[in-house]
Amino acid sequence: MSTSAKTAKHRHTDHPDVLPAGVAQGVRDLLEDTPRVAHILGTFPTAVYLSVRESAGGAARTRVFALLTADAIRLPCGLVLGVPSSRICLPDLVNAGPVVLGGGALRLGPHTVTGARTLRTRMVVDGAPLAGQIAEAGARLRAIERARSGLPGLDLPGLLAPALRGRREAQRVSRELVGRGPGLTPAGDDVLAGFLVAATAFRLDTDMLLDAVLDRAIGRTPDLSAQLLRHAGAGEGLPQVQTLLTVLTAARPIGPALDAVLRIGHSSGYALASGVHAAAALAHNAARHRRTVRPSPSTGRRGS
Amino acid sequence: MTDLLRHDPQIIAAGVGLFAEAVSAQAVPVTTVDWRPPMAGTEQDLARVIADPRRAAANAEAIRRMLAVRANLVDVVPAGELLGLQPGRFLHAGPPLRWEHASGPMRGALMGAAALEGLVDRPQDAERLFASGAGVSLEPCHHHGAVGPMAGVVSPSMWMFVLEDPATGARTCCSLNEGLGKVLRYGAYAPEVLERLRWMSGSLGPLLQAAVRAHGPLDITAIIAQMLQMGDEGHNRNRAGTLMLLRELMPEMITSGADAEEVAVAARFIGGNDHFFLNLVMPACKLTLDAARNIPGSTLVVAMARNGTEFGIQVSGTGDQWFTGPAQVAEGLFLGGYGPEDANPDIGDSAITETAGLGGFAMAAAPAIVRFVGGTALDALAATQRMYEITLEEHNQFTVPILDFRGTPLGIDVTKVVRTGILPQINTGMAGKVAGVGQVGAGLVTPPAVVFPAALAALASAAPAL
Amino acid sequence: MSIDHVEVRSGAYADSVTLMRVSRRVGRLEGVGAALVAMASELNLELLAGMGFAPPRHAGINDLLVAIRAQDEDALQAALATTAEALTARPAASASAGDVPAPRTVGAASRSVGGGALVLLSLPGQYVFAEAVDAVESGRDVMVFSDNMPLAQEVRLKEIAAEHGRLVMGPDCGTAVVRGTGLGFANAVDPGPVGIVAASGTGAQQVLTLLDAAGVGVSALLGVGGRDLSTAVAGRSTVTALDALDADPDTELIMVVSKPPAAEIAAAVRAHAATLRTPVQFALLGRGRPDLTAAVEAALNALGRAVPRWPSWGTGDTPAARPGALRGLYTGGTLCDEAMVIASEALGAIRSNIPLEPEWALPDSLRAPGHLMIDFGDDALTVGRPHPMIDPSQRLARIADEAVDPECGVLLLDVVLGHAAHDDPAAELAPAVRAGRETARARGAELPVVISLVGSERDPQGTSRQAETLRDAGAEVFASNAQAVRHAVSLLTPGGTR
Repeated sequence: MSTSAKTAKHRHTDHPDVLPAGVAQGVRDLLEDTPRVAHILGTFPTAVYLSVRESAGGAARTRVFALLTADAIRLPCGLVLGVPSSRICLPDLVNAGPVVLGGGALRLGPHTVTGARTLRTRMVVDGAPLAGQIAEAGARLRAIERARSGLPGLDLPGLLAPALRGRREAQRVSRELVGRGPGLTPAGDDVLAGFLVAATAFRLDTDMLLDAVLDRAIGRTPDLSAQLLRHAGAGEGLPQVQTLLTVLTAARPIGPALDAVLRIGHSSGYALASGVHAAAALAHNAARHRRTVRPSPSTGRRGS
Repeated sequence: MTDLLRHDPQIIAAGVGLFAEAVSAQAVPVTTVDWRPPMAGTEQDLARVIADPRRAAANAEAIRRMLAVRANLVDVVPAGELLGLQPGRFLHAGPPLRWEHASGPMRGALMGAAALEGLVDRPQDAERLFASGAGVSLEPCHHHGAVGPMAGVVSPSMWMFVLEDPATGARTCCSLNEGLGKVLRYGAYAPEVLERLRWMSGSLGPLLQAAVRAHGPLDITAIIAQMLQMGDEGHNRNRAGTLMLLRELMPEMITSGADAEEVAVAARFIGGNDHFFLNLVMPACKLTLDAARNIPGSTLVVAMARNGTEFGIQVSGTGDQWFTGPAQVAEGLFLGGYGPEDANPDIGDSAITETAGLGGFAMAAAPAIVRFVGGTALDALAATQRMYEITLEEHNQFTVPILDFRGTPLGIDVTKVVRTGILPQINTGMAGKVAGVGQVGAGLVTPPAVVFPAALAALASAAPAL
Repeated sequence: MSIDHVEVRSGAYADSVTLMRVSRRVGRLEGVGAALVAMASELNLELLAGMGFAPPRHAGINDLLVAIRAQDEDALQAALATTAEALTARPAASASAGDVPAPRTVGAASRSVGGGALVLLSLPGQYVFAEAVDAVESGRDVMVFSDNMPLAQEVRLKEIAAEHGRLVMGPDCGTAVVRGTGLGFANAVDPGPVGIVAASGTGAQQVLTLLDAAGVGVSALLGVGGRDLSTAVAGRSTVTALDALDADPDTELIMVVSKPPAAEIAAAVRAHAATLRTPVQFALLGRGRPDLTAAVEAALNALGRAVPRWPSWGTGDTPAARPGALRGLYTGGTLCDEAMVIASEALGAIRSNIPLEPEWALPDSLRAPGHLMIDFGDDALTVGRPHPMIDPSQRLARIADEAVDPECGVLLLDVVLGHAAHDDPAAELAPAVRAGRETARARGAELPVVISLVGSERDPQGTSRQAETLRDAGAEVFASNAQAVRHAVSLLTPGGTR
């Protein structure tokens, strides 16, 4: 965006004092905790990334969250405003004064962002992924990989399956993927985020892998990416991923849902989708192995 | 199955502002509808027509048929030969009309045509002839697959463009355009007017016939699509269309064997008459709209036409019935010393262009036109955008560059006009109200509002009881 | 004696439309008889002659013609100045080219909004059908807050919606919650396992807020309108809503909140519910049936969640029962209904504008001796004024009246919080409660005021703060309407109106 366009936008933007926002499930606790100063990590037209220090079990750690406009990608660490970036200038907003998070609001100088409602960011699926859908998604992803590199892609299911079974394998995979690649969310992290969120939704046991990934992530990957991995481990992800998960378990065309994931970021979408696909493949094998999916606490009441 | 619970909501709200505000306060995007009550007394009819189980499918079919039409210019033929018109029979613009109700320009045009056909020696003598009704008859162009601009008078010796849809073989026709100023269609009948008409019948018509026949079918739909990209809207501005037509036909005119001087005169006449192509846009529009006629349950307007006294519309679901009201006087700019008091009420079949999504509906493609009413280019944008409110579809070939090549608003829906109170906007020329004067100005006009509730009532009585 | 001025300006081109506008403007000036400012085309030269001007000798198509007939020299000079000014004038931009006018119909709005949008209609009932049909025909679910939509239109609307696989919430749907978004009058609640299908607005709000108090969230609340379970409408929306909730992986238990439907419709809906994978629990309100609080407790049991002690504020020991009449002043229709059902078991006849028995109907004056309950939100009392959940004035006046009535033994009120409701109802009600109790005291009576407060903790008004304000004014406040009513009844000796 040119400077003059920014200036023009600024002139037209009259920010109200109170801005309602939808609050991702995984950020609600942070919003309602005691107020503390937040630091700006990065500012973009549709997203501002911020961090606060919090103590988890005695150890201080960085927690990242995002202030997003309505047209931004809905990160599971987001406070999502009801207005698009065409009607609000986030950089002006966050530069209006000290930024304080907590006590039910995010205060930005004279402006207050309030948590008006809770956004569902936890993935929910109904049943196991279907073989045909997994195969279709896999074929489409391989076609993209071939088109990009001319080479067949990694055998992600083969790489990740052992990581669910043993601690050493989990650590090995983490060393291989965490922080691998450029950007705020390296591609290796995106693969893991897609895998973790889908595996959690499909009720695979991800405890060992998640421990290894989060351990490895400290200091080795950007704070935002580490935060998104934590959310993924809690089963929290993007709405596009939710739609893909839903379609993987239903006899519906997979193309639109997969394309929506592929459109995320520059290359993040492909990495996320590959991780989701790998988890679906493993979940399908596990279900076939058991003949039936273990009922989860959330669907156990159903007389299926 | 609804996917309501799968997406984070966005809201479209109409009604009490408080509820929209309450949703906004929850960080949910809200689009607010600027709703207003429908035209008075129409609630029952609206509900019944909207509840009609045939409506949605009928309108979809009407649109499908319209968009499938291609209009090819296939021939140029005298009206007598083409329509079996005998001397004494005259076609005119608009809904049916009797001489005693005819306005000045309509009378002038008929009188001129009577003289042209040799029924009287001088046009002035024709007044008695028409008043007596002996040996003369008046019928709407629309009843003969024809359209005519302004008075729209067609008599046997006038040459007609013939348009055909190759897929269905359906045909429409329209007379040749005489140019601006003192012309028959504006009610002028001075000797030079008749002289020009005789030249058109004796020279221009045959020359065009030879050229078109030699050229083969000429795709008028394609030219219309292009002219919209070149600042024409197909009703009050046809400059680009005219020149593209001339470009297409010129080689065949030259090789027709006609005398070079004759070809030069014809080429100069066509090139110097910015409205020449109007008489091809109009029958192309009629060909499109005729395809959508007579679909039970359809609320689509298939014709808007004025005879200088009354404005009439026809609707697909109500067959050939006309719904009429008093024609309005256009608002606009006047030539020379003329003023509003000199202008005749709205006249002509040319509103067929708006009915098919051109003219006033495509105003955003021709910003120069809006200044006829003292507006700005932004008014032109707004005019087209307003017409989307009352139409069913966006045209798949006719697009508006400034609106990011959005299709022009196509298919006026009676129910939407009644619901919004937004009347179709028509670009038009204005005829002097005294017979023989000719054009006095140009401007914008709308149909009388009453025709839409009347059409709605007829649609309602044809719909199953709710 | 007038002056004719004819001038030819070479090389001064302007487009014909501009020139028409200049001619018109100059021609209208005081003291100007005629004006023509035009390019010297053949047509325009003819026009000039027709206007009686002497044509210029040398003029061609690229020359500008200025012809003015003025009554005197001053008028001519003024006209020439105006001509010069008008020829150089440029219109000022009045709006931005990006501005798009607001859509006038739901159909038009639908074209500009992406998928997944829900249409919320609160137009006058006689007009709402067309907009609602627009919504479902453009593939959108619709909530119709409006009442007074003719029954035949409701049936047809729901038929069209079924063809398009869409849900119609309403007409007369006051409350919905979709993906955590409250629509109409709705409380702010967290996502959770309970899905609600509601034919009643404030009844559904009571269920929402009690679940919230129990720490249990809601996946969605889908209103269906008060008539959906009638024989004519045949539960069309109820069935669609049940299917939507059944397909929602978040929903573990479905509650249907309604007055008892027609028997054959109830049977059909139950039969449909039995085909779903998600358990469905019916909370049908009426005499001899469990109240809403009991229905919520049953739902909590079914989910394996603990039933909490329902919150209350300022409730002390119950004093000895005294004679007097119960006066219930409600803003929520279903809450009023529930109150009458519970109270009439102990007290017998309760007069009302929405009576349980026809012979218990109140006259239009809304005055009668004995126990009575008024629903201030009833259609007949809201014609031409906002709902009492927004505008408390009507009820406040009645509270003052009851305070001076020696027969009034207990005042029972509801306060409904949430989106779209009054932003601080306690601030209006507390002074009225305080004043009412003082008025009663002045006549030597103690007037207990019992309030059922329907609100969730996250509601914009803040339930605790509202409750504390009311408690401080001397009211006893209950989160459960049923408990509030039972408490109010316990303050009176049965049948003991004087």
